[in-house]
Amino acid sequence: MMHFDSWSDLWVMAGHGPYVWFCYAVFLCVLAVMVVHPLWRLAALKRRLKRRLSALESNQTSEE
Amino acid sequence: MAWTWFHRLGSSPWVYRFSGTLLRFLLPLAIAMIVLGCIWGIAFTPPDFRQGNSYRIIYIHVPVSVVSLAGYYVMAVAGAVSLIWRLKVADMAMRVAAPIGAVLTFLALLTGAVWGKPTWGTFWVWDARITSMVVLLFLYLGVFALYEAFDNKTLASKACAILSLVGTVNIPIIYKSVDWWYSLHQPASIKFTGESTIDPSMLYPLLWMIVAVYLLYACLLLLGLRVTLLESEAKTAWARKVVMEVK
Repeated sequence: MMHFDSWSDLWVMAGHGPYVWFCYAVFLCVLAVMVVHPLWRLAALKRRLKRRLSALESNQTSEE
Repeated sequence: MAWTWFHRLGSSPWVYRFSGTLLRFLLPLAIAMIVLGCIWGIAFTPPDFRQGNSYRIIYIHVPVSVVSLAGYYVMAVAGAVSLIWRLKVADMAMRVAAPIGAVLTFLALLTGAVWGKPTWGTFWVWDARITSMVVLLFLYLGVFALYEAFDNKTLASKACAILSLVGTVNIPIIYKSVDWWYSLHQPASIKFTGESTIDPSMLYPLLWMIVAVYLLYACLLLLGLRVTLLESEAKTAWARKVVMEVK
């Protein structure tokens, strides 16, 4: 059972709403960035390495 | 035979592949647990009889604090392993653990400050627990900055490992600070020995969130490790194979 009687009660939290919601918002945003950032870095790194590798290979085949 | 797992930890391609498989179910699990735990803590737990609703911050404040302390041991142990056995992966784990730990410590301080305002009447007080947590933040940042400060990366790793090992002295101090120097910060409600002074209706969501943040910490460590591994071994055969699999 939800503790609060209404959505506005949940939002206000008898005056403590701003503190609680701020903490949860910062927590979730920071975690989201911490998860997405390495995933994005890994994907970018793979793309960069692949470009370099295929450039290297086409160089070698043109020299032959 | 029993020790072969340890040798595999030294093999970059194995760690890269294994962490990838592990993350495929660990990461969704950790995210789902955190989202569910937040909803549980915000809406489905009773309020504290003295603090009212502001105490709901406990479901993020305690987990990030606990994991920021445990994360320091992860970093220090990884540093020790890289010092003793020269394990490359351990050295990378140490470096990856530093910024993650710093962010978690920062979150612990921030949520603690915001919780302090309605509860203590102040955002900040220089009491033992909070000050030692600030020291922890600077230790994490110190390890991170020290590595960047050296041009010789072998030397940098050694210096970081030693710094993180020396810094472990701070962890028991943080842990016991609330008992040794009693001030505004409340002592632990969950006890390993003896009766916990927290109701089950609050204890279970709290334990749930602690497990969730631990899981997420493991995921973040593995994610960072994968990036560092591929970056530093880009010219090896296994890295080429990984890269060529990308569409």
